[in-house]
Amino acid sequence: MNDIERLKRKAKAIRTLILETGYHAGALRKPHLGPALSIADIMTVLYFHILRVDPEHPDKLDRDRVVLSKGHACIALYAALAEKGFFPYEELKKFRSPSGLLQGHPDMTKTPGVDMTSGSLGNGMGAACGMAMAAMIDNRDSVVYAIVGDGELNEGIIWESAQAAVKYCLGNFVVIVDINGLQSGSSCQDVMPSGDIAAKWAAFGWETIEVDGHDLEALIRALDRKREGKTKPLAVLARTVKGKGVSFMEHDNSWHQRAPSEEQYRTALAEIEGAVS
Amino acid sequence: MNKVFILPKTNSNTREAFGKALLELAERGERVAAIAADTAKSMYLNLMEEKFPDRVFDVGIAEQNMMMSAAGIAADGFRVFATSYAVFTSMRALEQIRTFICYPNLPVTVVSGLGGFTGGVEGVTHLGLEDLGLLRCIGGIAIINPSDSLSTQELIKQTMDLKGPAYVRIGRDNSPDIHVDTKDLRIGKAKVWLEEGDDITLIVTGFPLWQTLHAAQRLRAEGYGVRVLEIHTLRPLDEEKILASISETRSCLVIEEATRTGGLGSAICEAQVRSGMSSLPRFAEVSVPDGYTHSGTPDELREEFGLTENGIYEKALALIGFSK
Repeated sequence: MNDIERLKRKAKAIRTLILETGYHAGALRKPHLGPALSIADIMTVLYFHILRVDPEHPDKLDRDRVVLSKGHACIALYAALAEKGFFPYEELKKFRSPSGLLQGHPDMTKTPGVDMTSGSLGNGMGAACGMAMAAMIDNRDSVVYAIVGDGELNEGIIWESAQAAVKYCLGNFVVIVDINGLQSGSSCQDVMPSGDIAAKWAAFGWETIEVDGHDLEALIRALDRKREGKTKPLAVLARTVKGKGVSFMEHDNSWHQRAPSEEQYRTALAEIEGAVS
Repeated sequence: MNKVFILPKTNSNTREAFGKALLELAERGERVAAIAADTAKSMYLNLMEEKFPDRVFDVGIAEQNMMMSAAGIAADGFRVFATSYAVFTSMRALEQIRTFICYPNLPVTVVSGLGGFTGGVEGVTHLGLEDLGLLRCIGGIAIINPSDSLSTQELIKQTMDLKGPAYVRIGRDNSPDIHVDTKDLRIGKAKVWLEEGDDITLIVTGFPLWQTLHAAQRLRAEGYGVRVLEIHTLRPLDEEKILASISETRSCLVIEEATRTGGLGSAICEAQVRSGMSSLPRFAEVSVPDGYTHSGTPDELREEFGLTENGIYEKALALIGFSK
C-alpha cells in the first residue's frame, strides 16, 4: 500500500473516531464536530506523515510540536493522538467528563501528546511563537505547527505573533490557517470579513502557500518539516469544508457545536466508511 | 532583632536590580530567557542581552503575545522573565497569565515595573494599583512585592526555586535602600523588623516599608510597643507569623501602595476572620481607596493618601489611642 492509501485509511479512521467521540459526548457535553472534521485531513498528514513525535516519550525535547490554537476543534486532535497511541481509545468516550483525560479544550498537563493548553482563541499562536523561539535558543530542529481558524484571525494577538515571528526569523514556525469560511456566529464574511488572507500574511513577511486542506498529497508538500535554513515563517492557507466528510454536516454551521442523533450517527459513519478513497 | 535598626542612606533602582539579578542567573548557567514588550531597555534587559543576545526577546508593544510567547518558551523548560509595566501585565495580559501560565503551572516570572505610585506622573493609565488584588484572584502564582533593590534582586533570584509562576512588582526611579543583607529574606516568609510590644503591629508590603520603619521608630521613641512585619510575599502569605503577631497586639495597621480591595489588607482581614481568633485587634489600613487618582509625582500621591512617615504615624497613634 502506498503512503497516500495508508493516509486515506488513517483519515477515515480519524473521522470515524471524531464521530464516535461526538456521539458519545452527546448533547450534554456539546461536541464541536464541524470544526473537527474541517481539520481531520490536516491532522492525519501531521501525525501520520510529518511530525517527529514519539507516543512513548511525549515530552521529548527534540520533538516537533502542534498547538491547536483553534482549540474547540480538539476532538480531531484527540482522535489523532489516540490513533497514534498516546492514550487508549477508551478515553475518547470520556471526552469532557470529570473522569477523563480529555478536557473541553486542549490541556497540556492532563493529556499526553498535547503540547500546549489552548482554546481561548488567538493565544495558541503566541505560545507556538514562544516554542519556536525556544527551539531557536537551543539550536534544535524542532518544527512548531500552529493551527488557527479563519474566524480566529479576528483576534489581535494573531497579528502580534505574526510580527514577532518575522522579526526573530522563525523559519521553524508553520501556521496552518483552516479556512472553512464559517465561525461560531455565522459566516466569516458576515461576522468580520477577513479580506485577502494570503496577502495579509505575505504583507507581514511570511512565506505563504495555498492548498486544498483535504488534498493529502498537497498537504504533505506544504507541511514538509525540513525547514533548516529557512528564515521566514510559513503560513499554509488551507481551504477546507466545515463538517467535511459527512454530507449533511458540510457547510451547515448548525454543526459547529452539536451532537448527532443515533440515526444521524449511523448515517454519518456509513458515509465515512463508504467514501471513495 | 528588637534593637532599633539603622537604615542605609543610599538610593537605587529596582528595575536595574532586576536586570542585574537576571544577568547573574544567566551567567551562572541557569536555563533562563527574558521577554519584553518594547520594555527591554526600560526594564534593564540590556544587561543580559549584551552577553546572551539569543535569550532576550522584545516582541514590541504587544503584551499578550509577550505573555503567550513566555508560556511557549517556558513549556520547553526555561524559566522565562516576562516584563512590562504592572498596569499592562496585570490587566491587558491577565487572561494569558491565568489560562496559559498559571493553569499549566509554567515557570514564568512576570516582572512588573511602575508598581504602585511609582509611575504617578503618567496618570491613571499607567498606575499599577490594582495588580495585587487582581493577581490574588488567580490561583497558583506567587505574588511578590519587594521594598527595595536588594530585596528585588534576592527575591527575583529565588523565583528560580519555584516550580510554577511568580508575579513580582517593582518600581520605576530610584528608591531608598532599606535591606542591608538577605539572610531573612525568603519567598513566603514575613520579614520581622520589630517584634516586641503589645500596642500595635504594623504590616507593610513594598516601598512604604521605608516610611513605615521611620514611623515605627518615632512611635517606639515615644514609648509605644510597636511591631513591624514586612510582607514581601502576598502569596504564599505567611499567615502563621501574621496571626501570631496581631494576636499579641491590641491593634493592627496595614500599609500598602495598592487599591484597598483585594490587596494585603484584604488578605489579612480574610486570614484573621477565618482563623477564628477569639478577639480581633482594632484594624485599619493606609492604602488607596478603590477608584481613580490623577497625575502626580510618587511623593505627591503618597502625601495625598497618607503613605508617608507622618500619615502612618498619625494613623497608628489614633488606632492605639482608640484601643486603650
